[in-house]
Amino acid sequence: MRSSMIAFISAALATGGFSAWAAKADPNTIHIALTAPITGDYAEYGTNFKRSVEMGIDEINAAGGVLGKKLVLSVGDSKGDPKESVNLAEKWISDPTILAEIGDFTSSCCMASQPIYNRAGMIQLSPTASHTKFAPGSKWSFSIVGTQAYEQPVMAALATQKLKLKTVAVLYINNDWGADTQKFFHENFEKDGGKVVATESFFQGEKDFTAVLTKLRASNPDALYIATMFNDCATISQQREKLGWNPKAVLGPSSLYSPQLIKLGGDSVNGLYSNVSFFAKDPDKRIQAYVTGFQKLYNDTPNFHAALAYDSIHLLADAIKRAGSVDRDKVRDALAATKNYQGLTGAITFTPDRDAIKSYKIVKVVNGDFQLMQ
Amino acid sequence: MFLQQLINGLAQGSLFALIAISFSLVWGLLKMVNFALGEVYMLGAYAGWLVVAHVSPNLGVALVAGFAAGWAGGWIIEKVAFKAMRGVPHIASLVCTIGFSFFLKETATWMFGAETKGMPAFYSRTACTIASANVSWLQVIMVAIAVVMMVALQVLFYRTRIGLAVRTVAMDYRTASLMGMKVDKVTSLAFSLSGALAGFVGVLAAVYYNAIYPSMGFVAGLKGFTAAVFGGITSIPGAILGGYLLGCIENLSVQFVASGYRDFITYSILILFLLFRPNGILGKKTKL
Amino acid sequence: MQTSLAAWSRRFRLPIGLLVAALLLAFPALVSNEYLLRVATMMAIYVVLASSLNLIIGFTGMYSLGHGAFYGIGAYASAILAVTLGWSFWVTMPLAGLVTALVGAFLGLATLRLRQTFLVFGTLAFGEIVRIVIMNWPSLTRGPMGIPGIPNPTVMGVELGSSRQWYYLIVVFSALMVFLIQRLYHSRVGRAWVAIREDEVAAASMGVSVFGFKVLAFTIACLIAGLTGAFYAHFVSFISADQFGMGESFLILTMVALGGTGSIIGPIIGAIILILIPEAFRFLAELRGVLYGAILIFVIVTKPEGLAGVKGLFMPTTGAPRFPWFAREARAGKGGGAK
Repeated sequence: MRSSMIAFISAALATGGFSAWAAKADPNTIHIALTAPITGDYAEYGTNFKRSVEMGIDEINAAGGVLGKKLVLSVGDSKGDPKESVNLAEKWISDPTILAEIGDFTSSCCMASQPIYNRAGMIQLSPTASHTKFAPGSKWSFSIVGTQAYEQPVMAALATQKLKLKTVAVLYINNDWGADTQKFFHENFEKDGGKVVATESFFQGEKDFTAVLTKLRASNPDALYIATMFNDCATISQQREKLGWNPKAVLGPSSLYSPQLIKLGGDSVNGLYSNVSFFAKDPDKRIQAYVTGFQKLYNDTPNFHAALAYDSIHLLADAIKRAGSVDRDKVRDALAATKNYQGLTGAITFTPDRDAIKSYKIVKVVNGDFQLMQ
Repeated sequence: MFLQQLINGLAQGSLFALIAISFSLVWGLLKMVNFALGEVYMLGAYAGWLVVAHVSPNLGVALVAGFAAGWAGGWIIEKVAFKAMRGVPHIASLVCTIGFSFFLKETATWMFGAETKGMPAFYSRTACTIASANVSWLQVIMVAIAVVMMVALQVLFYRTRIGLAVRTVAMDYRTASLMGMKVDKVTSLAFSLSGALAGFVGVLAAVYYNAIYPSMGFVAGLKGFTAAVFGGITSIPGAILGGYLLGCIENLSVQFVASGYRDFITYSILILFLLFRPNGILGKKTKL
Repeated sequence: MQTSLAAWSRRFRLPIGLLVAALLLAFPALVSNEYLLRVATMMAIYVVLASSLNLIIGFTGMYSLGHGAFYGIGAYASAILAVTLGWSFWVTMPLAGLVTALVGAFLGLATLRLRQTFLVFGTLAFGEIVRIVIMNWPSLTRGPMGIPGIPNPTVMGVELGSSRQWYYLIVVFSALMVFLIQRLYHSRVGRAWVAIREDEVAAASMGVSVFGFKVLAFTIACLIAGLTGAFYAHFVSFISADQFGMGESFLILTMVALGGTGSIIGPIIGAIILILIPEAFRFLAELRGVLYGAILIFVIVTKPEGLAGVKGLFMPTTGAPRFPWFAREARAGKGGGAK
């Protein structure tokens, strides 16, 4: 039974190692958890979440903290995998010192872990989940980015009125967010008089789009609408160019707004249209303070999603202040009652379903740079 | 768009065909499969990427790097999974290569991260247009390189002494060793060559899809194996036929069936052929 | 494997068994950390999975790389029935096992005549096909979105949701399954399996229906994997197709290979070791996958039957020394001593 001995000794070691991990309950701090894809396909976004939240917490603590207490952060890497997000949710809710959770990045991750936060009664504040079914799903779930129900009419209007496009082919990533996004674009585009002549999807992780692009091209659309994240969009654009297909316009949702799109996609993404509710070159003083601060700390320009994460932590701190307590229920109520909070990404007022309604501006990639269109 | 999909299929088929040849080489010699060939392909892709990023943005240099990395990979796998396992039932070697497959993939994830890396856009402009179907220079070059490689292999196997040695050992391992041939060295060579080919294809694929990521080897390996079984794993012409046929079938199926089921068709072909015609299209209809 | 150690442990089987049972039951009382409880629970799940795969590998000598897919079929079956039809766990779980067993029987009948190398690829391809079907059938499986909100089981109105309750539930299930496998091993069926493993031709000539028993082993293994999948689905409350792919199959395979093929205790050891290593040595967590691959390579090369395995499967087929370059005789002219 030597092998069993080894097993038991190892178990004892693990137990010992783990008792040290027990939660440290320091009454002078407020413990916040962050779930984000620090590694994996969406590492770019997750790292920016972490940076923005850490930057925000440092600012808040430097100004005296919230209710006289310093903010303390625990970070969990969800790798963009809903299963990991669920694991992290279980981990956070089993720690009684954690007041609220910020995250995750993708709607899929947020929706997968939602039942756990709901069961335990912990705030789940997502900076970027734009799926229409996310925030309404639980009274503990909040999202500040604005849902696709409000973003896509803007894109549809751009397509029909400004660009005068009659037909569009749609390529979307087949997950919760992609399906939701393309649904709203489709509805609004056709409502405005256009016609979606072809729709194709792909699964996360797919890298070979030549066949699917060829199929879309066969329907002869005026434009191509790509509902996906910037990394996939870069690959798609390059393969589209290789096929020699240059439609009148290429459009996509706000997920594409990132300097990485241009870095990865190069020339192939020139002329691409998207929309944002945050623009790094906006001359507004607070935005510039954030951008310069971020650049000084991390040597990188923040994108839309980074700004949303920054807004999240400040909004949460504000809600705690308004609640006047660190009781989970009270903070939740204060958060839900948020009216006209001036975030960098626009004014935040939560609807009864805990979504925020934002306003959007059109951007276009011109000569390797995003520019605001009037 | 039938023609365009066909052209896409031929380009992709070149990749499948070369990987299938890699599998055929080892099978023909030892009646064994190197499960980790897909990961060797992935190693080659990363080697090419490293070279392009740090040494020289030249496709040729990248291809050589992939070839070399693949050669090294194949050599190591032969030594550990096959030579050290002489005398143990073959299944153990296969399981060892399964271990290698996972080991290599996880090592790449640990070393390079799971995010997809890109290659600079080589030769992406359109070469010519045939009746509304676009052929890019890259596709032309890929098919050309693949054909050159196949011809080179033919020359190697039928016009050189080394090739003769490989064919002899493939024909009858035991007799060859009894006749005093350095069977070990021939085996090592074949494995290394098989790996080198896989690594070479890895660079090609990295450029074609412009995507390099640790799990790229799994699907490529499985599809390459499918192509080999499909066309006939016992012969190189079989591997080539299987590769091109599979490439065309896959791309045409996207056109006419839902794109999500593309791989389903490929894997079904694999299972069906394993069950009913394991010698493939070109193989004799004997029990394998 | 009649070493004195084995004989000794057989003599003290009852007290050792009681000690193990006591420790297992007392574990949640000793350790209140939720995370650790969940790790222990997952360990119990993998013990069952590895033991069930051992039925295929260790008892009939066929290597299957599709076990993760059967685990997934069970998980999905139970999740779908529970979430869309609202049925109780105690109904969906056995149904899930049944569905998985049927699929397993079907696949076994089709593919178990293949030679070993091809069976590996066949089961691998099957695993991928299962994953693709799940992804492309959104009306049934919600496609790539996965299935969230899988409910906890209830017993007489009490919901079993805490980590402690889940621990007990799954540990009892695991112990039951391992006991079942052990009873099978010592039954006529088990003896037929061992006969097949040791020498197929001899077994056939003695009247053992080789193919029939192989399919039986495969089916039972899939039944158990399916049941385990159902437990897992309700335990983690969210499942998606990519959790049950090649990576999972590989992990279970490595557990069996490391712990020992063909014995009862082998897969248990393998599961425990492979789950514990990244937990006990946290700094290794990043290298978890690398370690698993390296372990499999090392074990297969040095001791192919695993730590506590039965030597029958990997008897050297020739008298030639294993590491020829160390042996002077082998170097004198002859090539390798392959069969």
